[in-house]
Amino acid sequence: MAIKKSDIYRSLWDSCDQLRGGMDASLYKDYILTLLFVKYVSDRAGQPDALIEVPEGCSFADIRELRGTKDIGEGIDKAIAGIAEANDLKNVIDRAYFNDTEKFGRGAKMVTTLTALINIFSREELNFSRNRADGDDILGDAYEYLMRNFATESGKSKGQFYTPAEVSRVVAAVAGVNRATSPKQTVYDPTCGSGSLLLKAADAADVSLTIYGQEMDITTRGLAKMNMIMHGREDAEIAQGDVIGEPQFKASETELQTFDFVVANPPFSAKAWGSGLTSDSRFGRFELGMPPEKNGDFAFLLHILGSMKATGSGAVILPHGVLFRGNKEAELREKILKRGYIKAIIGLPANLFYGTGIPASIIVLDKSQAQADRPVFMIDASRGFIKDGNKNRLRERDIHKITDAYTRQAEIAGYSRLVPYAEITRNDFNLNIPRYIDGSDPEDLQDIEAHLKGGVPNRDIDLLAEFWDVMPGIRATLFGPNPRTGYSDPLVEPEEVRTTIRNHPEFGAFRDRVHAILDGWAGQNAPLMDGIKVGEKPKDLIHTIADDMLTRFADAPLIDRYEAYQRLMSYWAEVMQDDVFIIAHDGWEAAKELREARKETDAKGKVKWLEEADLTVNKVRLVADVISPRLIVARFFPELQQAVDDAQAGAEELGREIEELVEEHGTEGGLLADALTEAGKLTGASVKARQKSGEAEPEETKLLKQVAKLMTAEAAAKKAAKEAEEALTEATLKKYPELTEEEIRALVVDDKWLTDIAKLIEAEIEARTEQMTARVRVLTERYGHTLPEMAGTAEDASQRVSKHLKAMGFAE
Amino acid sequence: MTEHGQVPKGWVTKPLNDLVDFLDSQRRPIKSADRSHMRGQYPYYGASGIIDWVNDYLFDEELILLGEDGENILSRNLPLAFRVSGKVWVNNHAHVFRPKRGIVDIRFLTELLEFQDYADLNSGTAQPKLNKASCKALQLTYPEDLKEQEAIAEALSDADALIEGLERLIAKKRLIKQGAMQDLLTAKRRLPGFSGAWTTAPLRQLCSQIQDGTHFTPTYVEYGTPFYSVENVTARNFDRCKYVTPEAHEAMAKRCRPTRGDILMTRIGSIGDTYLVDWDHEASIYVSLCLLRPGKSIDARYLYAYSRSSMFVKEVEDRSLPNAIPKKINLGDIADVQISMPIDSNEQAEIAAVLTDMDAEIQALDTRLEKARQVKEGMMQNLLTGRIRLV
Repeated sequence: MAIKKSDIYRSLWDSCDQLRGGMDASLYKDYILTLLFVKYVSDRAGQPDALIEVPEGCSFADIRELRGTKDIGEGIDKAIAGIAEANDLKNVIDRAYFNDTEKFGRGAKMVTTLTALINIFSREELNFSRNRADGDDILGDAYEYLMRNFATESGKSKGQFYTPAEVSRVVAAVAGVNRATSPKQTVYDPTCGSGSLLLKAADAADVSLTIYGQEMDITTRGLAKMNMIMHGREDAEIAQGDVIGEPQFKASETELQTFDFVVANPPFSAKAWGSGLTSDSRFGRFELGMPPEKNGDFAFLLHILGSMKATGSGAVILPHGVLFRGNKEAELREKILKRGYIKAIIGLPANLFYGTGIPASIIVLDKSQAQADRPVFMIDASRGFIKDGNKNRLRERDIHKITDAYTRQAEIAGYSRLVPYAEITRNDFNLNIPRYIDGSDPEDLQDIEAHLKGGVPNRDIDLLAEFWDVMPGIRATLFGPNPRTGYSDPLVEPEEVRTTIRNHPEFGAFRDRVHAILDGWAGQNAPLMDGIKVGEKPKDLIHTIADDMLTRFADAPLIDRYEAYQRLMSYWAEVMQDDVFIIAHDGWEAAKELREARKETDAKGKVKWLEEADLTVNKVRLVADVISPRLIVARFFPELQQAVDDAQAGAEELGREIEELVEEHGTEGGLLADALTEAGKLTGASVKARQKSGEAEPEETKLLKQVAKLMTAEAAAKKAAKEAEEALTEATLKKYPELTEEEIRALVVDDKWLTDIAKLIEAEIEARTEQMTARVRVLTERYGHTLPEMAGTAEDASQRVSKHLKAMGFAE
Repeated sequence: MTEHGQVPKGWVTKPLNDLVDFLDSQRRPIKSADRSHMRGQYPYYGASGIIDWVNDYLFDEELILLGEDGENILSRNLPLAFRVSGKVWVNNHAHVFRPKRGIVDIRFLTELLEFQDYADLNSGTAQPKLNKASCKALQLTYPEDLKEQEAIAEALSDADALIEGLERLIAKKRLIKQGAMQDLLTAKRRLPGFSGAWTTAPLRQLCSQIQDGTHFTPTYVEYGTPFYSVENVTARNFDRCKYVTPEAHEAMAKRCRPTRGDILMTRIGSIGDTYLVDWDHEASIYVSLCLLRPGKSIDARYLYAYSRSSMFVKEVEDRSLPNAIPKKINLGDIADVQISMPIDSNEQAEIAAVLTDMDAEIQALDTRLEKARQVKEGMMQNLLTGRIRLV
């Protein structure tokens, strides 16, 4: 079975649970990622595309043998050491020690903890033998997951910033790596962390670049090396050390080695950046000037420039401050700009990074086209993000919009433009983006004349031009001529705006046009979905169908193509990707599989289910990964579903009648008060008991009889509903294995994917309609009545109230 | 009312069940996920009003809705009983009543229901709830004469009309004030008699002092000298504040001492909100506020009026630390904020006078609105109990 990201994350979470208490949360990742690595290379060992050598006795299977034995800690360390030795990775991948009584406890405690840990990694969902990472950054994503959930909250993550995957993708896309022509060319990250940014940059090249990285933290450097191996980049050179004080890649004793491409996300505003720096270790990096003592941002920037070939390019993530801070940094900024090294600046949203809320920007560096008076391409991407917990995150559409604007050097109002050098000098080389790009919305101007004399200013109506272009007739329906030029009269009351728009034929036509575009897209792409074959790459499919979505919606009325794209991409990430993985891995037949929900049985034999069930049969939970029972029912058994609904409605109706009687007569002194249980409930038994007591008055007896009858009817109705439900479940269950491949395709492609995607586009149509409705309402409400009219209305009301007060006997 | 006094002559006391048909069984909730696929033109009502729009309806007549659950049953911040008409959908959080014809006037009954106190009928434990049985049994005292019902409803709805008319008038005046700022503070429109040049200058030239409050959190005391921070300015409320000892205040006041005519501006958390100091007592401010003391070259009231404009706010935002959390602007950047103004100080004063008068008018209307609300309350107390009769 294909591996789902969510399954991996759950296992990681469970693993962390085992480690809780023994160590600081920021250390979890060292142990968990090491085990993940050992599991991964063991699963791949012996296969044609094996990654590295796993010597005898050192595989994960061997580690499994140690479960429950007192030597387990030592055994794990030995196995890892064995792998390290066989692959020349000593002191690199063997930095996390499992035989550590401080972290895992002594004796039995250690045995239990480590055994539980190994059990989690033995789960079927972490079986990598049939799954290649396939462009998927499993270790990188796992690292990000652990950083996000554990390292940052522990407060001990200082200096350990993880670059979110989305930001890495933008950096990789703008660093100019696509210019690479030869595998001899190099890509370098001086502060490479777990190496994910480096890998993404290398992947952006059409050729297999040689990879260099340096990382200060020795354990993290080991993780980077593992990451490289898992991506088949075992020849990547990952050195360890403080890159400012001890750069590891040198051309000579006084010169740095230079690279074709450099990417980096250095620690933000490092205070002690210069602690390792001596007069011997400057390597000519600070000829433009020394950065301020207590802030390392420019030190890293200068290191990157110093490590870049004269024909090279790159991109670096730095805090916003580097764009506008004064003093030494202003001087350095000016000098770098004068040399023409800066090609572009991309302002990112705040709060993207774990461990810090400070906003950052991507500085795109390019020596290959350095020239005097170079203009700088600026993008203000600060408003394109989605909230995710307490952090912000770039969406697919945001990434696409940034890279698109960058590649085309497009001028988009309020978003991006090429800023001439002269304008930068006019601003004293201050690069603060709002000085160059005004991303704020235009001010909502109040027209006093319109407030006094009536009429809606045409200027305001014209601002809705994008809607009128599509539905010109609706404008004429909502607004008519006003005697004064430049103004229009609202023709409908604010409350009628919504109905007027929705009932207008042009609104229907707009909706139909969008539907037609979507149908065209579905027509084109459904065959591709239908045609998914075993062995195909899911990423290719989504790439094709999403690009087609972008192309087709380029001309769509009112629907932003990036929005349509985003909706598809989100659906892909949440639902469709997992489906396609399963089909591309095991074929269409696999889509109809029902499997038992994942469960764990504890030492006492108690079963703990780890998943929700789609169907429950004899208390066994079944999960349908691709085709949910709902889809089968809708296509094959609508009449059975109707029977269930009817039966349930009948039972509910009876239940409601009983409840009402209790509400009415169950209060103290009421006719049913004595038939209630201690807890104040009416039950079959409590009614019977009261009837038998013989204490009931005639009227009460009558009511009790009625209630008893209702209760019998309700019980029967409930039973009928349950039976109808069981019949439906049975029919559905029986249907699964009978599904033909054709039916599976219809269920998955038509009933699930295309239906869901159509709903998502429909939601966007609604959102746009709502936007137009809201603004027209505001305008008609705002200018629909003049000030004198309103003052008059208030005055009239005031006089009427005075009259009433007089009538009440209050003379003024 | 029935509990204490006599039932007024011609009035009767009956349970609500005798006055209306309950249509609760016809209402139906729709899950919000399902509603998202059936957006449309018909209002979807919940316990206290429209909560969504859907493409189908359940009722199409004049009805009264009464919120069935939610904290509003106790707090009564929103109307609990309201009239609906036309095609509507109602979910299971509002009771639906159809008043019986010839027995009760719908407008009167709505007012009467809104007037009731439901706290005693609350049957919910965690979440306040009015169940159907207690609604049915709700005892209402009312005039049997439909004419009298109508007269009461008429009086109360006129009182409502006055409240609504004033609310709208105030909203209108606020928009006009905004328009006046957009016109007068940009020289787009000039006051008669003025044609002199305008200029732009940064606050550092216009103010004799630009200083933020203390950077050290003082020790608060129960009574003492007021100590203001960003919340006081944003809430425009200086009555509820923290206090420091007079000694601590004196130490802080060496740095900055707000006095009448100074402008306080928010600079951390909220940025660019201002207040013109209109008191004469001693007070200190926190680091989150900045004191601007207008110099000789600018009319203090003009500067204050300008600081309330969107132009000023935009200047402040552009100079604030980009995307910092919380929002923040540094002292030096505040000093750079550009103010546009006529050079002639008489024109400054006249513009300030126009805008100040507009503010004063709005404030007077606000007071009048509050009064109208209280009058309506008084009318309900008298008319819906029969204490005062209109016939």
